[in-house]
Amino acid sequence: MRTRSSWSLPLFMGGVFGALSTLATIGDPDLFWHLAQGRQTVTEGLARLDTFSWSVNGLPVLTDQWLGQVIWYEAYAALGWNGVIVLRALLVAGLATLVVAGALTVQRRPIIAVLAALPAMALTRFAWTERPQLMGLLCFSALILLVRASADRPRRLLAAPVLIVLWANLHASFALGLAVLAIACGEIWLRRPDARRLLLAVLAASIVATLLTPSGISIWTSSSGHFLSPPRIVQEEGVPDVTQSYGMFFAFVVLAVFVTAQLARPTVLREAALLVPVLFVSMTAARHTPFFAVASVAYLAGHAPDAIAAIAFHRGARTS
Amino acid sequence: MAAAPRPLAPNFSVGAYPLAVAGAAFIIAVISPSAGSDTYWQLAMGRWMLDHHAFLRQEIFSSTAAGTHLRVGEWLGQLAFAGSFDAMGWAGVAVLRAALIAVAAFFIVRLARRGGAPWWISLFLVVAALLVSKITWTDGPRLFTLALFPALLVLLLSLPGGFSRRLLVLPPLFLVWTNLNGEYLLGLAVVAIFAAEAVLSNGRRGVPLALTAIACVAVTFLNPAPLEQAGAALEEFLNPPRFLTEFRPPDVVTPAGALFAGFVLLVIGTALLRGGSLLEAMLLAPLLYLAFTAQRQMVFFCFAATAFLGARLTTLVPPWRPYELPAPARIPVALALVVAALASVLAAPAHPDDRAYPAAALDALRQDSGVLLNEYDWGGYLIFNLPERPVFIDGRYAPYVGRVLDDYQKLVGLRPGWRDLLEKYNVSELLLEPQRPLAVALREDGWRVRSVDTDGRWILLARP
Repeated sequence: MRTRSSWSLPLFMGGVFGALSTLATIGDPDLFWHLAQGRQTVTEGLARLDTFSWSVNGLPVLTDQWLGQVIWYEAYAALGWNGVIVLRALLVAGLATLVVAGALTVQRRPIIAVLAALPAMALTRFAWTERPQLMGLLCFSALILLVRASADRPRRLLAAPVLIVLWANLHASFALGLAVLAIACGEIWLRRPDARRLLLAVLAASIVATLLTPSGISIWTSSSGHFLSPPRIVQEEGVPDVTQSYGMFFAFVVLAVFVTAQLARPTVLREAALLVPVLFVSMTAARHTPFFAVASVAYLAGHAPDAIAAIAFHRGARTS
Repeated sequence: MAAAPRPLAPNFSVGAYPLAVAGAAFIIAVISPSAGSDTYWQLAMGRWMLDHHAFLRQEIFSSTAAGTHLRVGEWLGQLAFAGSFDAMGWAGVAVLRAALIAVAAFFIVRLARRGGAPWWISLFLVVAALLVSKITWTDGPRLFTLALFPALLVLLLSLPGGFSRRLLVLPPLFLVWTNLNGEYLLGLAVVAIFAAEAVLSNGRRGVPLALTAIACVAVTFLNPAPLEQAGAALEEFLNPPRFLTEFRPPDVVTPAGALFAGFVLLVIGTALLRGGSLLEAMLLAPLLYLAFTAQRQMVFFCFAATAFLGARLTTLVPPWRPYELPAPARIPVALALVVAALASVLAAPAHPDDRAYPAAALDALRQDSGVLLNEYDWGGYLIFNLPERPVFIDGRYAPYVGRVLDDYQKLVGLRPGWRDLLEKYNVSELLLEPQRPLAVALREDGWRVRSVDTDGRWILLARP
């Protein structure tokens, strides 16, 4: 179990990145309709039909981000635009805290843990938007930490359904979370026959948790539609482009994992089962690239030093 | 006394599998008609060089870039395709294409079989790699790189430490490659990587390869325009022309992109579980980055990955002894496939697949001589079939980058200033897809419809 003192570095880094995020201006074009929808939910109740346009007026609208929209609106209602900045800073701080904490689960040397987290944080910078999407990324980071912490103590996965129900009401990226959870359960299932009943219960409860939203079963159509047929016309749904700055960070992370996997000692099935599917998801659209960066932090923290040592040894062995 | 060993027999037996796959690949490749828009201008340039016994150094096919300097670096590749066309028509083009793909298939099998991978694992990898490459099977000089790249890898991976006579093959290979296709640079980079790894791992024993790499670089200057070639390749790498589909980043929700993603995930996943090597990291990491830059480059990562995946997958799958063709039957089966491949030459299509082109508009176009504004993808087709009518733009894109390409996009997209551009270029006719904003606008402005495709694929408009 993590000691209280071991959270000091993640919290410090969370504070640093949270503070840095306040330097960014508010500029996401989607923020405004999220705020409008959040305001509508707070003042008039959840609207299931469109009221903002004349072209699709009265047609059904997605309600899959209602809680995220309400939270953003409440922040705005409380403190104006400063409230939006403060909420974004808190979310970024939470994200950095969880990412660095994940690195520290496998790496005792703080400097290496922080270095391993930096590319991921640099890439998530492009997702520091004032939208429920940022909350989804925070939930993903929490799940990754939970999954890693549950490797030897599966009972910790009992927290997963709670996280999933919150996530499903915040943002549609919960589907990725459920997939990651299922993979983690599958891996533990193979290793720990004694935990199989617990794993089944966790998975079943998590699936049910995704239905505990105003959208019910239709919440899945939003997720699957985006994943199987990304609307490429939207920039963030475009194919990851490594000639763009975010794409360069993504390529760096992928190549870092790639080279580390080649040169470091082989790892366990859990790592491959986690990283490979998340990498595929990240390759589907630009907005998904931070997922792989976040998921791979712990692996890089634990294994990249081995890879660097292998290269150094390679050279040393030849010169000696 | 025992009979002397017959070394050729086992060699043939080992080569039977790659030969069989190459034969099958040839048959599949030869029956497809030419369809790529770039094939036409490549043939036109090659034909001009054959006719004039000179390099085509100045632009002659367009009205917008006439007289500008042309790159001639791929002259040999263009001549090869034009020569095939002259010899056998479109069937010759198909045969040359199939031969190059068969060569690629042969060497990819050799790569995939490294480390004793069983046939079914290697076949799976080879088929997947060839399917990824299918999107680049456009008849043109690039197919030479598609064939030479896996051949180079096989050669480099078979090199022992220190000097080997096989090293002597490399400079002549690059002498030819550099005149065939601009992507010889990729081959040079691969040789440099192997040389660096050899020096890192073996010290002085890596020096012969390093010296050979330097010799390879030197021979690439025996090209009519070596620096132009390198400059163009570098420009495409740093600033890929994204308006061209093949230069867009890999899209993993398309079939080829999904296969590419499969290769990436397999390489990373298996390496996570079994580890890799310095050479693999040094070779595949740059190729992976290159593949991320543009989907036309995915193929090189996939080809190279087969060299490492076969052996690693073998250690991961449960032991299983699938049906193996008896050794005595392997050579006859391979020979039968090779004979079938040779026979399939007769099935090579004598005509290109020109359904995507405005073939029925050619007669109408011949009757006029004014400035024609044409669809980008049809420029090559017009150059080949109607050389007397200069095009506005075509798939060579290099002569048009900047001014003409920008103007073209402003015109067809009806962006501000389009009317001025129409006057600037004195456009008298346009051949476009009917749904282009410019075509719609000019029809409404009263431009005369000279000809229109009944299936709605093109429209020919003339100034009133």
